[in-house]
Amino acid sequence: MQAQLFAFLLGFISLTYQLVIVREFASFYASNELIIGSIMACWLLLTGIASTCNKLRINPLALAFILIFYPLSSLIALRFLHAGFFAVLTIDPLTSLLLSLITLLPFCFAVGYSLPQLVNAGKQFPNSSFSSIYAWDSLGSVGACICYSLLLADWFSPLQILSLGSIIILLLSGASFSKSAAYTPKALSYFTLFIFIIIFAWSRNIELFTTGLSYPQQDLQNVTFSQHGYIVQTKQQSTSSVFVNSQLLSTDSVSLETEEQAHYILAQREQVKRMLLVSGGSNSLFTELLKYPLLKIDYLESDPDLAAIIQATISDKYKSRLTFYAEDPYKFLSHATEQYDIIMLALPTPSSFYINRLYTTEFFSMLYPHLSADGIVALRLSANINYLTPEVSALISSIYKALAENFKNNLLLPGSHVYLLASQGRLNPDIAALPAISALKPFFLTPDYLRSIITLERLADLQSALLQNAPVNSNFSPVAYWHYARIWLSQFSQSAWWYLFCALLGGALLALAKLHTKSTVLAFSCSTTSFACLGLSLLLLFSYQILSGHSFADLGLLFGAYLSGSFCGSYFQINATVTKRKQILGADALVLLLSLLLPTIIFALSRSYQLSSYYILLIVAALNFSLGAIQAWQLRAISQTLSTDLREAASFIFALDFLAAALGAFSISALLLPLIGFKACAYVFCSLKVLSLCVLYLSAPINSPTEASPKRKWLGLAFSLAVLALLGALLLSDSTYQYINAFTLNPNYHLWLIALMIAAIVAIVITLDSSVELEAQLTALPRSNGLVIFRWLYFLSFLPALIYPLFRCVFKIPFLFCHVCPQRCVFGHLRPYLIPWALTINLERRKWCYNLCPLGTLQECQAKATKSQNYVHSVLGKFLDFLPYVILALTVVIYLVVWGGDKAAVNSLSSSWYEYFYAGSNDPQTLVIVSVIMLLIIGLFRRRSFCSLLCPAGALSGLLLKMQRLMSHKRRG
Amino acid sequence: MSTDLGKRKFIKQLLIGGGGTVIGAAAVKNLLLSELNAAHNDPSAAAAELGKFAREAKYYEPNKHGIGAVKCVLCPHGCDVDDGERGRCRTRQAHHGRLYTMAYGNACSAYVDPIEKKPLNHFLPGTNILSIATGGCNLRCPNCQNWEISQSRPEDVARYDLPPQKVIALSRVKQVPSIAYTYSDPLAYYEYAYDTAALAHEQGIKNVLVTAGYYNQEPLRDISRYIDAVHVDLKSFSDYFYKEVPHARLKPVLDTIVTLKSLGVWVELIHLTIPTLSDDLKEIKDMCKWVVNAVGDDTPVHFSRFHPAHKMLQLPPTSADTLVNAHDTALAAGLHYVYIGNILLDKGQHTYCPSCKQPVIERRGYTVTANRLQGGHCPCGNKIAGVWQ
Repeated sequence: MQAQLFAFLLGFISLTYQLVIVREFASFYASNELIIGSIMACWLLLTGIASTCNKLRINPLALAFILIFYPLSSLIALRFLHAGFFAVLTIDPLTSLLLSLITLLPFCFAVGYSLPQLVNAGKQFPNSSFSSIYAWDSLGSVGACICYSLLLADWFSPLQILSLGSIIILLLSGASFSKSAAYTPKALSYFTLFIFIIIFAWSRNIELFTTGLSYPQQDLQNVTFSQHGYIVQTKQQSTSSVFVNSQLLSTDSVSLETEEQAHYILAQREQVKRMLLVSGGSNSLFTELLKYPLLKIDYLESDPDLAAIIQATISDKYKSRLTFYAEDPYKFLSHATEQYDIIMLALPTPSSFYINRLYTTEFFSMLYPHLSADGIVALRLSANINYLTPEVSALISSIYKALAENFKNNLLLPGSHVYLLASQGRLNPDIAALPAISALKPFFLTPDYLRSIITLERLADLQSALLQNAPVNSNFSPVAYWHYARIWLSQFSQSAWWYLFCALLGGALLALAKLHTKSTVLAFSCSTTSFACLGLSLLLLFSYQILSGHSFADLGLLFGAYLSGSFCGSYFQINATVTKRKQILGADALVLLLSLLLPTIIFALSRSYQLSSYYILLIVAALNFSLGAIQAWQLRAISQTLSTDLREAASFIFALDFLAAALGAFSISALLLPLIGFKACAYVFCSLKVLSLCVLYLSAPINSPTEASPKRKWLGLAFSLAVLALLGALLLSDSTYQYINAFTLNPNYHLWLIALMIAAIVAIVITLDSSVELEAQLTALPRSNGLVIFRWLYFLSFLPALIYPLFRCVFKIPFLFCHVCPQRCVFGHLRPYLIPWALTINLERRKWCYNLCPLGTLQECQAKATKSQNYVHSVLGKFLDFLPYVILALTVVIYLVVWGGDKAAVNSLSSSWYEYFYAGSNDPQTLVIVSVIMLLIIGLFRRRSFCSLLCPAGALSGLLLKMQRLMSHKRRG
Repeated sequence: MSTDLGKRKFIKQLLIGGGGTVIGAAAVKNLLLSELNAAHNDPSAAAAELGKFAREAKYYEPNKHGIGAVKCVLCPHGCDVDDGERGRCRTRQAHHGRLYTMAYGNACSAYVDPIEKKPLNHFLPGTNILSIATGGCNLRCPNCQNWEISQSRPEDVARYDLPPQKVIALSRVKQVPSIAYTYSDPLAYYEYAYDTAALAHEQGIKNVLVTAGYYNQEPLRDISRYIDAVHVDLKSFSDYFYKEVPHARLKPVLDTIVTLKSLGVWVELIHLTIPTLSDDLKEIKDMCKWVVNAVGDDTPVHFSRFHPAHKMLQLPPTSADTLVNAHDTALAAGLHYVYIGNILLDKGQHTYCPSCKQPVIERRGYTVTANRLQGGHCPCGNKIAGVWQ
């Protein structure tokens, strides 16, 4: 039980430290997902590597010393480092990464090393020690998540939080030593340390002093650890400034920028009665805004702590015309009834998914109902108006397009920023001519100045900088976030950053590859599950932020749900009668299913603005729980199939889990999500799991086919025929075939098929086994190996593409003239790739035909259900055996003679010959349909009739297989 | 047998893996990348024009240590540039023993600004100025407002094909009396600025350099023949600051100021007052005393408010008190013309006559609201230093 208790503690303190340190980095070292993802990845990478060091022997006291003192001291060291070397500068990503590697190394090493040792220590529980330790470690992490998000983050400072873990370990170590002889002196020394830690960590002065190091020569007026990070209010002489995560949010001196922000927008309308200002409030801005006499301002800030600080700093003379709201903008807009003349978004740059959601088409569409008839929505983007870099152009374009989707008139104005205005009413770019400018006489924005800055040339240049084909910024395709990340990165020397990024990625992959050599298939399955589950969990966390706003407590609970799932999955035994192999497969299939469903679930939730956030939290938590449970369930099954040394097995699995998760953390938040969006990300995980299933499927032991029951055989046949009949009926009907056509021509469908083919190729290369004699292979074919689900996945995916020409081909013989077809269908589009791919896969024991081809699957179901034979003992049968080669020759001749797309070659042929096969329209052809039905009937008596009679690809592959067989005979002979 | 099997396995893996990869690449390329490519700009267009904007540099020496390497002597960095490499300014490339500037005529920005925005308060006040720039800079200021331009290679930000003749033509079209070489340091595009300035000088158009002043003496004297005014960014009076922040030295900048003054070029100085880094009043006092002694008390000095930018985001903007104190210190040190910029303050905006203490030029932001100068003289008769016509 002691091992389990330590696992629990390890989980608790390591997650607490991780949360605190990530928050610290986010606060001091540029808080975007790029940096947070890198730090999380470093954490997991180091822990994963450390868990492979199971052969090392380290004094437990040294480990305890690290776990007790390192968290506190590293936090203080980080703050001094920041103040000493980087206080006034933003640290580049490379330095952040290096710094996080150095900072995290000792602690991660201690945690990673300890986990396999605990498994070994707890081996008195046979077959469950890995899962038991994994479960208790997860439970500790759940405890940390819940405590941190509900209690610690709000009420304790970072030093105090870290001290809790240290104190618990110290007390436990003290208790264990109390049983030894030298009790008194050791107890005294532990008591002294205990007091020291309490004084050190719980002194508010130390916390303030170390935080204040980063704000030199400024008086710290207020330091708040809010949901969104560190909020620091400083005063230097008469100037008051508010920093959020070390970035200046507002200051109270009027500048050119403040005047532009106010007058470019408010001067557009003669009477402005009501205005909504989202974020960015300061005395200087309100000074300018409230020069407009009728104006009442609703000020909205999503962080309650920040709202309170802003409210406290605002001068009393303005407060009578201001109303403060502390609420997420989406929620506020969903219940607000006010109509505004101006909605001004003075937001920070879209440096995170959370902020990006306030620059999206979805958000702008919510603003529309709250605007008066000719109301204006305005925002600004940081840009150098003298030169717009391609990244800035792309950023502005994606946000401009999001505005243009919702508003008729849009205007870009140059200034110290680029200002975007949108309205259903008229917008005037000639700010100098607006009456308010003459009446209010701003200090910087004099008519002369405005005429020299807002010139026709500059306006035209801004318009021409908009990229015509820029994608629209949306909640789940956060292109603005990606462009901003590129702008941010362009400030630093990127080559070194990418070298390190590649080195880390390569290191993780190499480590994974090394681990894979131990048990390729299992390791592959395990690592792809960890990668996909962490990735999906991150998708869910980000989606939740987008849907319900940022709440540290909620995010903690959601992460806790994932870890609770891990606990349950590893602790509770699944039905013991199910084989381990099927458990692993089942987990893979479930992850695949979840990744397929996730985009739809998120889409449905994103359309349910009225849905209470509690329901959203519940749904997302349930999904997170499921992911955690599936992952842990698979890990447990894998651990039980490994027959090696217990510590080595644990080390193997922990390392796989951490390294794959590290890859996930690194690539998903930094690259995949912003680059390809949420939906495509989910499909990447889906493809990975398809690949993993493919590897499992094709690696099935060849000599252990499992015979399906007669009932299941008929069920398989009925299912395949039903799908075929349904698709056929939809294709035959003129009213429905258009939908199938549109579906099959969708690029996403093509992408999915390509991913499946790549998965099959990779799986075959990984599982290639030449040690089995060819004869044995041939006699074992066809076979069923229990992984039927995989075959059905390919069946359902490829069937629409393969049978479409049977029902809707413009030639009388389907599949044959695709290269000159004037109306290409899905098969025509994909044939240049699918057929060579299928032939390539067939090089390995004709695996495409026997395991993956949907038509093969259909025929195989027929053969199994009716027990049809390979040969018909007649002259006709022998002739039929020869038929496929005739078809193959005909195909080759037609392909070569009627060369793809060469109209001249087609025209040179006898027109009657060519026209005979050309049907002119894609209406269903009776002869083809009848042939299909006949083939299905023949299939009941003759095994795989289409494959062996008519399929040219099958004929070619059969020839190759026969050649291999001959060579095999010759070698043996 | 096992070797044979190993070979067979390898060949099979090669065939399947290789075949699959080739087909996969073709599929991805044809089906997917065609769409993706259409969605992005073609970056090769800028690169294709690289050769067009290359000119042999004016100031360099052969370097004995490397084949094809040269030593650039344009600025005090004195970069040893290997063949095919570039100097710190990102604009000068060694090629077979010669040094080429890659920034000749490929301007990234060409706009008209009020001259007060440079800021120049004693040079043709109330007029507009054509401002041109290319990519590149020999300094690495982490607070640079124009870092997108200055910290890039010229071909990466090139936007116009604007040889010197076209710049002159553009200034005629825009009806501006002067051209500013600005945004990035004109040293980065020295040859381009030199030829343009010479042509403009010939045609009666005035030239203004907006620079950090980090030049070697010979090239500085050479270009100064065509330059009418220089706005020097005296970032600090501390060599330590210069070493740590822009990675340069103070002395060459001071030498530049003295040389320019001695050559009769109109000089205005700007001091960006960065909190904690360059806002020390003693240092400001020393700086102002040096200005009075070295280049005269009629040299205008501007104290500009810092605002977080580029990599220096974690400092607050300069407080009004600091700027006012710096202003008063400068006046106390004996300077006649001291200004405060980039902030809404009544102080430090107008030009006062040192004799009668009355405002002769009044400003609001970047706009001249009243100009009482009469032929460069205050109504009281005192001469006000500057270039007024």
